[in-house]
Amino acid sequence: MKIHRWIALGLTCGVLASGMLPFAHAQQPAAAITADGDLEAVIASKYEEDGYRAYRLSHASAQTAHSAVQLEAEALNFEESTGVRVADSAILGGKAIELSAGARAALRLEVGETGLYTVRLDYVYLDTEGLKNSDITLLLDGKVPFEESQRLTLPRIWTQEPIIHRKGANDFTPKSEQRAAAAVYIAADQTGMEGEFLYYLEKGSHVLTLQSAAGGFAVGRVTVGSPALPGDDAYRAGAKYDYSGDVYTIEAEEIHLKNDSSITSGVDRTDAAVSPNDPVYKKVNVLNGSKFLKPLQNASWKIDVKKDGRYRIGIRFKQDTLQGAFVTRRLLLDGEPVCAGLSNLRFGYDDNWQYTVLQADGKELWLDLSAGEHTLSLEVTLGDLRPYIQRMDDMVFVLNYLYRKIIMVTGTSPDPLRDYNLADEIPYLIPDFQAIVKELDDIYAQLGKLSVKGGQISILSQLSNQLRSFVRDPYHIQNRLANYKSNISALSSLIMTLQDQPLTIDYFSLIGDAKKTTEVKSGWLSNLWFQIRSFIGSFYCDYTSIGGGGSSAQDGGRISVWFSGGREQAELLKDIIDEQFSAKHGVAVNLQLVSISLSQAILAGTAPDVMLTTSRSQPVNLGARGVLEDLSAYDGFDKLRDVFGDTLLAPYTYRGKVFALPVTLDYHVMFYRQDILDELSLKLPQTWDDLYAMIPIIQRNNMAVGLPYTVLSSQTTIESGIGAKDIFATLVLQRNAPLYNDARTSILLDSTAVIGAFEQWTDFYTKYQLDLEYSFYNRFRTGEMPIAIQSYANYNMLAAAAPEIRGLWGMTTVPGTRQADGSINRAEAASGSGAVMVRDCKDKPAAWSFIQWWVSAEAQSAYGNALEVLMGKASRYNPANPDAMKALPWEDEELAVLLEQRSFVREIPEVLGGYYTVRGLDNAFRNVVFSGRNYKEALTEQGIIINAELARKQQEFAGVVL
Amino acid sequence: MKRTVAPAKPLRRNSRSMTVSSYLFLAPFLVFFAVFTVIPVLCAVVLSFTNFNMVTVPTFAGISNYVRMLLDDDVLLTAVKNTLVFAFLTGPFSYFLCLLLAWLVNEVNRRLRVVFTAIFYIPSTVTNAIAIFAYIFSGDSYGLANSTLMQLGIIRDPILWLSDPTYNMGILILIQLWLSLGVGFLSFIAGFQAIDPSLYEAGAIDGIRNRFQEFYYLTLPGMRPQLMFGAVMQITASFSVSAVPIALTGFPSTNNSTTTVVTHILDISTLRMEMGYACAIATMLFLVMLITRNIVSLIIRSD
Repeated sequence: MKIHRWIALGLTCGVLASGMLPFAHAQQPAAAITADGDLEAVIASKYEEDGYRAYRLSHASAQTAHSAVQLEAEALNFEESTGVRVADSAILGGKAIELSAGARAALRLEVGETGLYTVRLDYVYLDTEGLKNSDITLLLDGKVPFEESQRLTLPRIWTQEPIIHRKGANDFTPKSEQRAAAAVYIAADQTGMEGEFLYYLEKGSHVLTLQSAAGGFAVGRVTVGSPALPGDDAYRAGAKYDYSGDVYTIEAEEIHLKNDSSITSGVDRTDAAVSPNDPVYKKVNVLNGSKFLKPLQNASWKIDVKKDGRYRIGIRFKQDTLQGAFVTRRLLLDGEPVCAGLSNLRFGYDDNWQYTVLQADGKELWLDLSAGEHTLSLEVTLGDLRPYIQRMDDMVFVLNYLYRKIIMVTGTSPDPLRDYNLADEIPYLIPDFQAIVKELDDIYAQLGKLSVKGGQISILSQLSNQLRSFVRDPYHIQNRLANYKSNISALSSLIMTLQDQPLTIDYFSLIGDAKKTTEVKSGWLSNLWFQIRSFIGSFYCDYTSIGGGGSSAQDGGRISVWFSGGREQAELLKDIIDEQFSAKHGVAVNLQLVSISLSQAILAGTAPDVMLTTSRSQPVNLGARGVLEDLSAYDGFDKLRDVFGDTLLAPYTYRGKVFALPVTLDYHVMFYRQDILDELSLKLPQTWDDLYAMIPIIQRNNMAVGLPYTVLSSQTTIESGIGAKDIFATLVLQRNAPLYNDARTSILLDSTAVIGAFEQWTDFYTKYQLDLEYSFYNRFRTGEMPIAIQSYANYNMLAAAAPEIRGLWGMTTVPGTRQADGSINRAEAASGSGAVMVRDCKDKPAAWSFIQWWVSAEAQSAYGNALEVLMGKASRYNPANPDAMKALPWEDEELAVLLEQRSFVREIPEVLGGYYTVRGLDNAFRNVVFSGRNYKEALTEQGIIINAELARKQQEFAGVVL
Repeated sequence: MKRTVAPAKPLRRNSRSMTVSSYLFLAPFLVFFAVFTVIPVLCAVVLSFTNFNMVTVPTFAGISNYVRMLLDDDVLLTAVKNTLVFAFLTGPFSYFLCLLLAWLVNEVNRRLRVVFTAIFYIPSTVTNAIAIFAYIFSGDSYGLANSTLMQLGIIRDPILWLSDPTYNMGILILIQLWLSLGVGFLSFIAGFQAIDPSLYEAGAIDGIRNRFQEFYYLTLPGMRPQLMFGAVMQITASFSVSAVPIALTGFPSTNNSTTTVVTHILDISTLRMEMGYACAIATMLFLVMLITRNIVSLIIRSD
């Protein structure tokens, strides 16, 4: 402990050290601290014991080595390797080690000095079809040095089709394609928070082992350690050439290679001078900053230099997101860093487009280039902000920890007049607050030196002011908890903001001249004229048409298809249809992006042939009215029945006819905070009884358990049906009770099982006092709600937007009900959407083949993967087709949980008038929970009302012949 | 005394062409009014005698829809009750509030008047402003109302303001009042401006002693058209309350506690797809509004 502090003090000015040891220079409070409140221990508990943080601390005295050892395929020790093959690789330029699935490659390594080494791999993927990035495990002398080294992800390399600017038309978003291109991977933290990993190696010989479960790539050269980067002056002094006089300009939207398919070119119409631009039509003209922002993302451009020479670098960019701060990029020439300045380029904030000639410390930087083809790459890094982001992240964790400790004493709605004696109840509270104040003030001051200031950063001083007053007056802490909590979430949103480093780029130039610039500016007058013309243009330019081209003159028929959703999704879908469906079946598809309801369109006679996104109760509702086609009569339906199973088709089936095929499927899983469950020594609940046993313990510590409950709206009654609204349907299913009679003409709310399920459901809110409305995302992050049942879609949000609890949470199946025979019934209700065919469809065979194709694993996985490529991880698709789900980039453990939960999904059928079921049950529920009525009475009363409506609907449709 | 008679013909021709051009000026509005108001209303009346499920051809149903409305619809009774509560609580109250505020605003100087008019009128133009009440009355324990009351120690557990039938109607009435200072308010201000100042002078000479007398004997009678206009707007507004309950208390609301006639119509037409029955209720609502308008007009005229 002491040793660390001394070392850190020695290096306080060094960025690295302050990042590693956030607390080392914060003076320890004099008061005795119980192990419980020891901040360093708390922070350490955030990181895994065998994680990188601990590894670095245990080698804190070692120096970074600046010698590089290069290992070629010859270094391979075949006796200790399996699943590898040495082959010539033209792409990597020499011999390469090919790793197949489950391979293990051991390389002999000799290092000349003891120290910390980076590890760099030159690699290429052997296939260009897969989407999953392969993970490798890097071992030193047979051991995994730290946890993170288990999973180093080698990104696949993508290219982008050339952009065609068409006159008088909107440009298409260029598609990404995989390319087998040589790439460089330096072992680093995926989030950018730790930077490049430094491995400790003692002088002598070692074995470096690479393992990969998925394999599928070849490694050319492994480089251990990296030579020190030359300083800017040294680089300038070593320049070989003088200015050549040539100027080359590269449009940033013409990306050559990228290591993340979601880096895409975009459209900017905010400024007339962006090149190229058009006031009326959309021109793809920039590298989109909102897609080029995550650490380790790398985009490169090809440039053909005609003359040897020295080139200054001009760049026109826009950074209008990080107010008061800067974003950082690292410039690489032909994949290698050039000099210190070019590896740490800062781009400041401005609302408008900016132009700059790259410089460091007030002096311009240049590249010394030989004639020929070069690649220039920009890589996203957190730069100088990194240590501070990390320290703030630690503070959020500690502040949340103390918050939980406080509410364990006071509860979430404390009595304002009571003296909780917090300073004595939690003896470490005040000293901890004092230490945090010091740390926050220090971060604030250091950031100020980096000229990061203004609105967002001020939360640091706000928070430290609040804590200071907590220290001064601990008797009123309980009254200010809400504000304390919102300050914490403001701080963690600041962290998230700073972790994204968006930079939109118009073009950059290599300027072989000491004076010239390539700056273009647009005056406000030209901008005004541009905006006026684009306003006028908006009256005649059709921005809603999807795609066009490709599928016009086809002989296999023509169908119109409706899709509701985002424009980007529709464009994607159109591409996939053209590629996979129209080409094969020769059917032209006219895809339309709509937001109106199908029933109105049918009434107006403008209905499409196929609707891809029909909400839950629509198929039966419209089907019973005789306007949808019965799909079960078609050839090939039985095969689909096998794929989905009867239960997924149940909500779309009426009187034996199936009016829709399931497209998406949404169901609940249980999210839990492992750290808090450990703290309370709780195990994951298998049954509801287990959960009942946990609730008091969690609540005694003033935390909460969350169950799903959607506030009723017209949307929910029609769109999601009964399954995913709350857990009632799940509880009914787990009791093996039907909700409707076999003819689906009346609801069975009077069976013992259903009444029991209803009692169980309402008990959660009456006896156990669970919250009905809450923000799951916020409460789960703070730890206030360590266990919650929610839609599995929340996984993506937590994975993408809750960095401070990474690795501390997980998801598992929802609790089940123990049956008489001792087994556990884990049945689970669900929700989703389907694809329907309208009965007036003119070309039914074509429409049927289209629907068949759309619900197939092939189409669904292509769409899901393309969606993720385009929109990122947070918008992962939820297909109903099980094989499509397996093809999405889920991690294996997650997929196992999801598939297990999915195997328990039992859908509740939709009936005519089913909206009244949702409504009636909700009324009964509210009568019990709000008005304290008897549950049996409330349920029976609503049962009568629901049955009256169902009977009326039966009467209405008695005469309709399907 | 001999009068020179103006030539009659040109005048008549003139007046005929005046009439034609007047109708021409009216035409754009009349066309839109007919297409988007008159014809739909007539269609609704016709459809109210049919069964129409939105996707198949309507079938004639006689007066069965009206029979159902009067004899077999419990929810409609709740809806009518709620609508009347809205109409009688927010309608007249907000009408007089508008008048009072307009009077007060009229008394201040020109610049301030513009500012105040904007302040009072803006809420009714920004319909999404009601979204803010969803945050204020959020059922979460961190909702503004809940957290404040809990901090003050008035309540212990969060109240689901908008879902609990004990509170939701009262909250809606308050919000509706806040929103209702709309067109009526503007027309009253215009009415105050339209009165000839010489009237007040004459009144003062004739013995009016205070501002209230002046208001009652001169101002009110002088702005009868605006009063009438304000009343009609207010009646329509309070009988067709729907946006606020839907946005705040959910649609449908708990036990139909905030169902109004219009939300009931929306429920039946868009959710249950029974257009014929929805049209029957709409026709009835139309008739009730018409009758109320005539009664109010009688009161204002006789004043």
